[in-house]
Amino acid sequence: MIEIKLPILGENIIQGEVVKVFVSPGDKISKGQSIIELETDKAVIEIPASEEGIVSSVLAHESQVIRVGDPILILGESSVRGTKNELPLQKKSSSVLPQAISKMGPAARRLEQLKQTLPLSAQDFEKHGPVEKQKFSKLRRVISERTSLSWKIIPHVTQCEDASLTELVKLKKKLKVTLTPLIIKLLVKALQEEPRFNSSLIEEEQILILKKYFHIGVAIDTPEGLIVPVIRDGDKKTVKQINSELIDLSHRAQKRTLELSELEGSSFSLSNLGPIGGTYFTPLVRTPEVAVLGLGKAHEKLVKRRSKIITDLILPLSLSYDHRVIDGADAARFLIKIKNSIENPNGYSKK
Amino acid sequence: MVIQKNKTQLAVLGAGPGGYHSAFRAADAGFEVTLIDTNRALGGACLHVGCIPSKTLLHLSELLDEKNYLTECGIDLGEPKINLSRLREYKNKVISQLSKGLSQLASKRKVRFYSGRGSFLDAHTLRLNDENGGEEHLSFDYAVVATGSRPFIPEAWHFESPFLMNSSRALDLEDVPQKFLVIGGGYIGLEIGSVYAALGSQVTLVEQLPTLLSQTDPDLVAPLRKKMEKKFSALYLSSRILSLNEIEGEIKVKIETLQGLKEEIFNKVLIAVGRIPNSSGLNLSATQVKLDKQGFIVVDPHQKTEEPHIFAIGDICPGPMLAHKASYEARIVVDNLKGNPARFDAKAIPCVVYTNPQIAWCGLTENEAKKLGQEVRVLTFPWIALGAAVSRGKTNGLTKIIVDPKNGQVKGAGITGHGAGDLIAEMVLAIEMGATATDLAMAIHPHPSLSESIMEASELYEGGSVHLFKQR
Repeated sequence: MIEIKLPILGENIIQGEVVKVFVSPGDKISKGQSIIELETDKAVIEIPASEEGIVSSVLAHESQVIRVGDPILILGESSVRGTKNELPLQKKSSSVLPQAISKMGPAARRLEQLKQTLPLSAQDFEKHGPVEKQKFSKLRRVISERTSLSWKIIPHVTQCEDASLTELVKLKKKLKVTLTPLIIKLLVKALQEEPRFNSSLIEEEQILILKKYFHIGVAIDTPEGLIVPVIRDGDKKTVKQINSELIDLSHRAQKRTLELSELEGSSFSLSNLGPIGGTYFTPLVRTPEVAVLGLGKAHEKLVKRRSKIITDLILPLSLSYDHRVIDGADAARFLIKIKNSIENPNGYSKK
Repeated sequence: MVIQKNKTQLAVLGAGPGGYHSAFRAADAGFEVTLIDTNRALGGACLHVGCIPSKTLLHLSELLDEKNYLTECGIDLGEPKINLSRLREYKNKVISQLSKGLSQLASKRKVRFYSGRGSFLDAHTLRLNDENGGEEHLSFDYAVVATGSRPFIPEAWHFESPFLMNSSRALDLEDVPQKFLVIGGGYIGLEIGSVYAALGSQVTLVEQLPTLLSQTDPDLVAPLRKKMEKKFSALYLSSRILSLNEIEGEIKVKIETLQGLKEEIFNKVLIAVGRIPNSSGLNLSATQVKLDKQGFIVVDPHQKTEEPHIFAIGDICPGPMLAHKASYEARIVVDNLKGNPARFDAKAIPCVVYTNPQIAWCGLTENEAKKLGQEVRVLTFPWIALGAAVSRGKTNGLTKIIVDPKNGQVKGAGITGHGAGDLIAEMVLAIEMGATATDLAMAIHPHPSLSESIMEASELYEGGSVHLFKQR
């Protein structure tokens, strides 16, 4: 009886998920023949048989996670070789595989504690000069918790792009709306085409939730701090509807009279700093969302169009995303889509 | 009588390892310190009536134990003659040398030492009384309570008798009684019993529990138990003292043993059934400091009591009563005084029994792992397979490492054998640094040395060690 085990696959690969099992009991297999397909952190690979013989039982099954040294299948009596090829060391290996080990000695742990608990008091600053104490409001505490969480858990990447705003400004004037509702409408179209940007990751269960609704959180600057009311069902509303809803939400955000339900459920967020100023920035993804679009201040810029240098109105776009869910190439495509739709709003909305 | 009024930044009650470590470290950090102890010298129970005198005598006992081994090897030194007063002198010399050293260190650091009794008047003032009737009221910004512990004597045996001793008195070595009874199979009973047995007493040991040193694993205790069975005249486990009576210069003892009721006469009796914290005379009720049911001071991980400016460390706090735990806690206190919110964060506290063979352990024991339902792998290397142990005639030992079966990380260790107390330090470092068995196996150990047993035990994790062949 010979066990065929998952061999050492390479540096840092200690386990993988079985995608496919190619053999079943009774099969005669030869040395080198693929027995399973395994998805590791790095790649999908086929695992060859290390021995030849008749398969008496298959221990690995599809979607099972197996570790280096775990048995895949057992070859029966009629196998060609005996057990002498089995090294005694391998026998133990399934139970002695290295797992992540915390190696922090007492001094390092102390330093870590210090970092976490360094108590600051007003006196620490007063010794350097006069200070004024201000209460950290409830809203700020909420913002503090949410942004810290996003910063901690999301591997952020931000990509930037310029979009010509000339066409959208014409449409804006025609419809007598502000810029934000128009961008929301275009954004929703892009989200419909790129559903990953409208998703959430449930990491514990390893599933991605693709949302079929398009609720856009819009960052509003208030004297108390950032408030993000939600325009629900952006796909079902007209630009004018969104425009008036936005005026109302913004108004009530300033007065802090929004209902809790109007602040929940966004699937993607928009942060427009244009009215204040600045070009590109790195907006923070609002977990559990996976991306956020930032708008800078539209400004005139010299650009080259059809071998001519012209002055154009340029809107700086900054897209931050969760790299666990979205790759750079996806983000580039998404951002180009938004740029194109801003530059050609009529063509886009006709589609 | 004039009551002196004084002020200090830091008052430290108790000059044992916890107290003097606190005082010295705080003085080094720039604090003005007053150190108070009922004893006239620094060092506490550890130096005067505990660790140091017992280890001095245990070292000599171990040398006496070598006599038969030497004879076997062809070296006959003759029958040993014991000069008890010279032995006492030597032991006292060791104590006074170390105590003088501490006094010098204190005065160089400008730590004020007050010899007398301290108790709390309120949460910011201590009342100090010296043995000449002087009284001083000392107000303080911070205080450390490090008054330690004392031997526990059950109430039924609370009678004055020159033949009934606690560990402190036993270490005075008044004489070598012919028949010596040790009540208690913990480390104190075993250590002092060993000393008297080596000096020539017929030692009987009585323990209530079915095992000696019940806080560690039986396989670590087994070599010692075997030795004790030979060295002691009787070892009564699962046994109980029914009565102790002084009759005509002797102590008559009734013992309920597994073999039935025994009535025996002893010349001296040592009561070593545990230690209790010295918290009762401190008038802590004048403060918010809280005691638990056993009289230990309740502290948070920063060693702070309910009064955040009063700290407590060492035997007076819950946990193992060990000098090195107290001095570690002193470090925490002074870090906190300096504004660094350090907390008790040790992963392993070594425990050592200085018998022959020594028994030392740290971190998780196999027994504890079983109780907690924690899956572990136990790697045991017997010293009979170790060259360095064979060449010294010290084969009655073993090295045992307890690892996490998933990744080999060291969780605990136990060593029985010559020098185990020194060898265990490597295991404490391994646990603190999160080392794995493979780390220990791959660190080059000197050959021939007893430390190789750690390397060889660690190699078992990977399948096999060179000097221990296991059939597969």
